[in-house]
Amino acid sequence: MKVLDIFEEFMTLNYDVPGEWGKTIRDVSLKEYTIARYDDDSYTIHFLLNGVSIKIDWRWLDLFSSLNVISGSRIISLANEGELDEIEEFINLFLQFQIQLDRRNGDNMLNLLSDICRVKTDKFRDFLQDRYKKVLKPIIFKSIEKVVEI
Amino acid sequence: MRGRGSIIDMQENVIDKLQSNEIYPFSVIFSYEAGDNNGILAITLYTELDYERLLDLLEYESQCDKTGFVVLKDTNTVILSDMALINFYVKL
Repeated sequence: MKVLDIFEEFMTLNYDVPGEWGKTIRDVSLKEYTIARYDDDSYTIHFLLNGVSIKIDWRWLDLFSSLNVISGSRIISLANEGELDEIEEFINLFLQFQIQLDRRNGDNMLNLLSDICRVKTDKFRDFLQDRYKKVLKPIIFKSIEKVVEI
Repeated sequence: MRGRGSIIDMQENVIDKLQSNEIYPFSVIFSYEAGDNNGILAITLYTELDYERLLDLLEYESQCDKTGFVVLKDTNTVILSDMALINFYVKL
């Protein structure tokens, strides 16, 4: 069985995104001058040292949090065993990020996030839209010089 | 745990204070830990001019005890906590 097979099996569970989140703001310290903030529509990491922020739409967290609960251990086990294609690599990468997020582990979570920013989300988002008609917004990187969709 | 209103209000209040002094920040982030009534405030300014202006308003250079100040000229960022944060509310 491949990682993609497990992901497809998970998506048959009629995964749907609820319309209203209704969550209050909650801050989590990651490292001394980095905080992560949950608010109504996103999870944002603020780098206090220079004002840079990385904003992740809630739908990402909902998707991969559910995936982790239902199929996380199987995906990780498969990912450790064999070669993954590009989409499977991304699924594994974001799943690992979600796990670290749930554990509020600052160091490795930020490393995983930087890997996600490096490979970018466009191919996975295209895959999700083409195959399952689900739309995920890009991750937004914002600094004084630029606003970048990742 | 403070909710949305408290943190948003705090940040908007800081932005209002800065703008009333004609400083327009790129980023204002306020955060605190549970049980801590003070918190930490990070302000990033667009320009070096605004950064220096803010430090002047806070009378940073004349502070004997700079505990609670983290000032980063390279990124035009000022991070305030403890007495430095209280100083901000008093001065602005």
